[in-house]
Amino acid sequence: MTLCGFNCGACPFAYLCIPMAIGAAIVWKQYAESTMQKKRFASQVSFLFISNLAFLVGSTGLIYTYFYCWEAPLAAMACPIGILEHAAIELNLTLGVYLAGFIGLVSVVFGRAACGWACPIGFLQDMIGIKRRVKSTLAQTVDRHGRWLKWAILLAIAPISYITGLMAFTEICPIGGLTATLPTLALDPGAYTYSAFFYPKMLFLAGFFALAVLLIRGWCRHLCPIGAMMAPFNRISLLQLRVDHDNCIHCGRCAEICPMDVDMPEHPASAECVRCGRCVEVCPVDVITLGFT
Amino acid sequence: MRRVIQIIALAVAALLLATGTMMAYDTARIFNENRCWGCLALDPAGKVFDGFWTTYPSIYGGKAGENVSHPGWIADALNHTPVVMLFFWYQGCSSCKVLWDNMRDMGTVTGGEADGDIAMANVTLYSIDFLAGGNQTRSQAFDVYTIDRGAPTTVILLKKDGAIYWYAFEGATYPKDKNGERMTVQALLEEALEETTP
Repeated sequence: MTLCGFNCGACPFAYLCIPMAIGAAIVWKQYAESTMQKKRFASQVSFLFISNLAFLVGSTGLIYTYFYCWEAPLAAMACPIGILEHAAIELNLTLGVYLAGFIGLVSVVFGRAACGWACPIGFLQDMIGIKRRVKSTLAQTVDRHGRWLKWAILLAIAPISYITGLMAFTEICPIGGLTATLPTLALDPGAYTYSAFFYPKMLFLAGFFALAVLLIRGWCRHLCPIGAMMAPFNRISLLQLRVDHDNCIHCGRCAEICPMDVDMPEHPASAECVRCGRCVEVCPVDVITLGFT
Repeated sequence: MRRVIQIIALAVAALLLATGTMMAYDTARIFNENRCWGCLALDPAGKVFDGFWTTYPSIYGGKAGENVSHPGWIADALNHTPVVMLFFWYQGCSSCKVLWDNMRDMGTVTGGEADGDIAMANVTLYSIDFLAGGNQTRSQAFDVYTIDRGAPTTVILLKKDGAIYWYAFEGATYPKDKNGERMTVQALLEEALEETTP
């Protein structure tokens, strides 16, 4: 495979890495404020690179433990949702076991840290999210109840795929639209016709951007089925946020800065926590730590 | 208590991963390797039918001009019927379903992809789920004819003057003829049958 065909529009590195690097420079302040955030930035950039390693390693049978499309031009691993759909459509138990093992092991060790430290879509949302917290009571209620949606989506994928015989989520997946469909179109705009799912996919992509811009990590909070797979492991994962409640002064800064609106410092093992560590660095009395238990 | 749960969860996850890797790694790799047009919501459009081929045409990139190693079972089938059609698909492939349903609506095929049959005389159809673990011999034919590792891939073969002629296209949209008109699979099969008529 050619490393660079001088077609920047088709290159995931040009298409994703350069704009994201520019975005990261713009929002550098949030990464520059601590060593941990600089490490997180390095991790997010590294995983964006690792996600697109097919030009070096070809197509592998590994599974992404975050959201990235296996049809992205240089995707090296398989999409967990695609694997789930295939397992359901073909009633392939071994695929289900493989997926459960992959997601399970990573989640038992890291909890939902993959969302905060590895996921390119989380990285993108970190940069484009404007509104940090929902303030009004109504918005808070909608936000709180809306978080069940991602579990509903996850639970619906397998049965709908089995019943329809189609890859129910993938057909309209906005992340696939962003990381695979648009780069593929950019490669050769005249070479394709659109399937019936193209416009719904683009509509959902527009919705993804609207949600991600209006509410930081809006996709992770409400819709991401992969985040939903990993979220329950936050309670038992080896990587944990710890709060020394005896010395906490309840200043509220940790809750204020949390991109996922986790109820800090009361619920550091919340299923919503992506282990980004923002709360750790703003704590004025250093009672919050992120580490392996 | 938490420590016990962590150890059990780690052990179970590691066991599942080890088992899954042994049994499903290759399957996941094959899924990853093949082009899923449904995932992209796109379909290749630049397909042109300008006659049947004997060697790989230019759309096959590096293979262009090379002779084709047609599998033996296809050559055998061509001894029994003048035209053979291969339809490579897999479960969950929406583009495959679109094309198959269209062919069925037009009366070219009957039934579903898994158990369907051709509705035209003098044509043998092999509808092959090339990602299923069933008939490996037939599934491997996909590697011979695939253009961009996408599904569906439709192949029409005929035998004339002792040589095998063939044509293949990928995706759910039909190829265009020299005049820019879309040619259905039925029209391609009729063209193939005409070629075999002395």
